Amino acid sequence: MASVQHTGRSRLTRTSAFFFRHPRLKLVFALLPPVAWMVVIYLASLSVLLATAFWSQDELSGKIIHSFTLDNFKQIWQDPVNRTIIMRTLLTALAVTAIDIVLAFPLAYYMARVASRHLRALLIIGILMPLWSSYLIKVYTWRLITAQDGALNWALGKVGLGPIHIAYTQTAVVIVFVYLWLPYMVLPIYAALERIPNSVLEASGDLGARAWPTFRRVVLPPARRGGRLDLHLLADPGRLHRPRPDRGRPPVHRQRDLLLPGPGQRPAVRGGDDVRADRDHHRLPAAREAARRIRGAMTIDSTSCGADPMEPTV
Amino acid sequence: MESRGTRIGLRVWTIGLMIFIYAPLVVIVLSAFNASKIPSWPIQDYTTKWFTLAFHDPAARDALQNSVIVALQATAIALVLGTAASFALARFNFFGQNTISFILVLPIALPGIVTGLALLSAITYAGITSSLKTVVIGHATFCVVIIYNNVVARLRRSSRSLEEASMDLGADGLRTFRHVMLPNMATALVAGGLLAFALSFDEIVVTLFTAGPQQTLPIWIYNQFRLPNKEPEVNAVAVFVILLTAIPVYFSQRLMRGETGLPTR
Repeated sequence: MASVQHTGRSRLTRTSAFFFRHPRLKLVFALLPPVAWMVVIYLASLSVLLATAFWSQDELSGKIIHSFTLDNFKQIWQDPVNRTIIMRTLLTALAVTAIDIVLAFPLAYYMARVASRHLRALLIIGILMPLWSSYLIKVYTWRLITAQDGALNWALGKVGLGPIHIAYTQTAVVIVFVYLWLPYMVLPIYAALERIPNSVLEASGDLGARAWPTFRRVVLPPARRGGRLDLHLLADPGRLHRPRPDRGRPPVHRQRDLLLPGPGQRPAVRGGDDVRADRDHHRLPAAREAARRIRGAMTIDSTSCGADPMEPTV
Repeated sequence: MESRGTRIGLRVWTIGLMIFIYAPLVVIVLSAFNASKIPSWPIQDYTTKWFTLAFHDPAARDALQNSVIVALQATAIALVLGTAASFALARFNFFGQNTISFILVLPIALPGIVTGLALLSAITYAGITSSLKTVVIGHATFCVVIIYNNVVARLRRSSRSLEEASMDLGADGLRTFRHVMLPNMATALVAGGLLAFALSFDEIVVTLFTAGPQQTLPIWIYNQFRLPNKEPEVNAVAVFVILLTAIPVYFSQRLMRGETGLPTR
């Protein structure tokens, strides 16, 4: 028993000594599993996806025909339904971005320049936490809120307004997207504003600039840089999902499946042959993914630059 | 600098937005306790019976079990691959380093719909049957970067000289890893693991494309949407999912305080 343990240990020791003498091999062994996983599973899948874009589908059997064609791309371009979807997506993204900038700026400004240190920390956490909570549930909750007898109409009734009928409309879609994206707009603007040293603002005042010129020429330029990141994220083409025409569904109702669960639009059972058909009907907004993207971007920034993007550099 | 009026205006604006951000959370939690089956507002009477109902629903329980299994397996794979990758990238300089870190980040950088569709194309192309295994593979792919980010931040922060000192004192590579590097990375690993678990647990897009007949909890919720009489039960499950996502994220944030992009001060 003891000897077994001994040989086991010495083999391990020998192995580690070997690796010590050959550090490059250590690198290869450390790198091989993750890289192999990403290449074999992820890059290969992306390649298949790319290839599929140039393949066609048999109308009857639904089988994919492995011969080169540009028809799919022609269809995207020529089909008016697709163009409508693309336009609607772009306009929605623009509207959401514009509304979020207007909403986020004063909040970010308050956090960066007015709030006490303690309150600021609280606000940052308060704005970050929703980013990590379930996308699906956030959207679902908005369905409850915007419903006819929902909380929104109740609240509006309390202040003598409403009721409004926005459930399952494009307005509701915009509101929900504004909600989902707001934190992504606040944090970069906040980070940019926080980096403007107080002394610069005071200098602007000393040089005779009033509030508005100071705001326009001192505060806005860096804040704009902070905001640019959001613009990329908000105008996310990931919401354009499917280049094939919808079956039996008016085009207006696309791209908001989560908000529009019309009866009979999705098969009732998941599983077996239904699954694929079922999947065809799922067009989820990619907001969640951009959420991941910014999380990624934020953490990557901090690790690769060696500095926390949220930490003031001044 | 700002005038008093501006300050008050900004404060009101901030309070308004914080209400906007947190009102949905309040609504979903209150709705889960709504005694009435009809979701009309304001709520008249409260009950916990929907939680009991959801708890005893076999489909929901299966979905919960599947979600936990998937999240645990995906996290485990991601822990191994992510740690190996961060060790290689933080402790070595080699040609192609940037390319590799780019590839690792890609599943998060691309929209989930792309990841999901790509995996589905590959699954169809290879003739594999979708199952929980394919879901695990999909989730593990985007969880690797979460672990990688946490661990690489820690490794870059911690001095290499500790490891060298350990070697100088006669410890071999293995001992150095076990007694010096591992304790140092431990909280980063736990934090990354918790985040990966939470992310996998409530992931819906990639899951929809890679799942077979078995449901995860988000898919179960999604499938209930068209059944109006299921609403109270869904509300209860939703509150449960919020808790099960928020708790790991909270602890993860505490463990990695200020080290990664998520600031806590």
